Amino acid sequence: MRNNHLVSALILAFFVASLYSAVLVVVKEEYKPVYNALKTAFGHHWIGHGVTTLIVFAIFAFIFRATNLKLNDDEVVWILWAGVLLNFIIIAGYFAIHLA
Amino acid sequence: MQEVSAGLLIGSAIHAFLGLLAIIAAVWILAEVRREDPDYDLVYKLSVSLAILVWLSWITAGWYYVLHYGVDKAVIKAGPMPYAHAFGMEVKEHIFYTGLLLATALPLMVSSLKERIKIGEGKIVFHTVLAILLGGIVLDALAGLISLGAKAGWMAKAIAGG
Repeated sequence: MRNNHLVSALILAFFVASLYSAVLVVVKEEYKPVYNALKTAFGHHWIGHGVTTLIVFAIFAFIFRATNLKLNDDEVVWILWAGVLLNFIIIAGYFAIHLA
Repeated sequence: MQEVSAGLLIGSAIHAFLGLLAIIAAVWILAEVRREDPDYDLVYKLSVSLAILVWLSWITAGWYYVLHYGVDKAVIKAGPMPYAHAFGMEVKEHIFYTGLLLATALPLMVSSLKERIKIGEGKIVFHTVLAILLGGIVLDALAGLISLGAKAGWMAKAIAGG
């Protein structure tokens, strides 16, 4: 069964925001001006990380909602777990590599 | 001597307690959507509760992490388990946002899937909540590692007479 627009938009926006968050971790650590910019703008880099991740999620939810895209159950579940696992692998992998 | 206020202890404990309540809400939703005749109203109320609990957990964690964690961080990094911060805290503080996003989306998803949940088609809600639950367990394990790192660091400092 095809899911309604909102579920499809939310899960795709989640995927984009999840990847954004993971990539931002690496960028913040490797390129300090980004880290410092978040710290300056939000008082702490971690708060800036969270707020900008939520903003990315909201923006893409609206964008995908406007496309009228409809995903089926299996597609939604695959995108969900892809977002979760990619986020975890990039973040945990990055810090594990830097421990070694 | 280092003083630890009751407010600080209660504040940090509330973060963990809210996380525990969120995990309980997640388990309850999983059980409910697996039933043949799920109670939609209950699933919706639990999904809203879960979202609120995760948001409150983020706010209380932020309060502790931004304002008070610095002392523990320095002790952990100088102690016998520096990876408790370098890996444990760094991973925990960042993967948390995955759960925050999913918990925020959950009530909207539950609401828009109302008719399907009522007839037992709760696959999407089940997987979304399962991801939140497994993430919560991983966060809990990382919190244990960080606590051990702090304990080891303070012990080493005490033994050294610091």
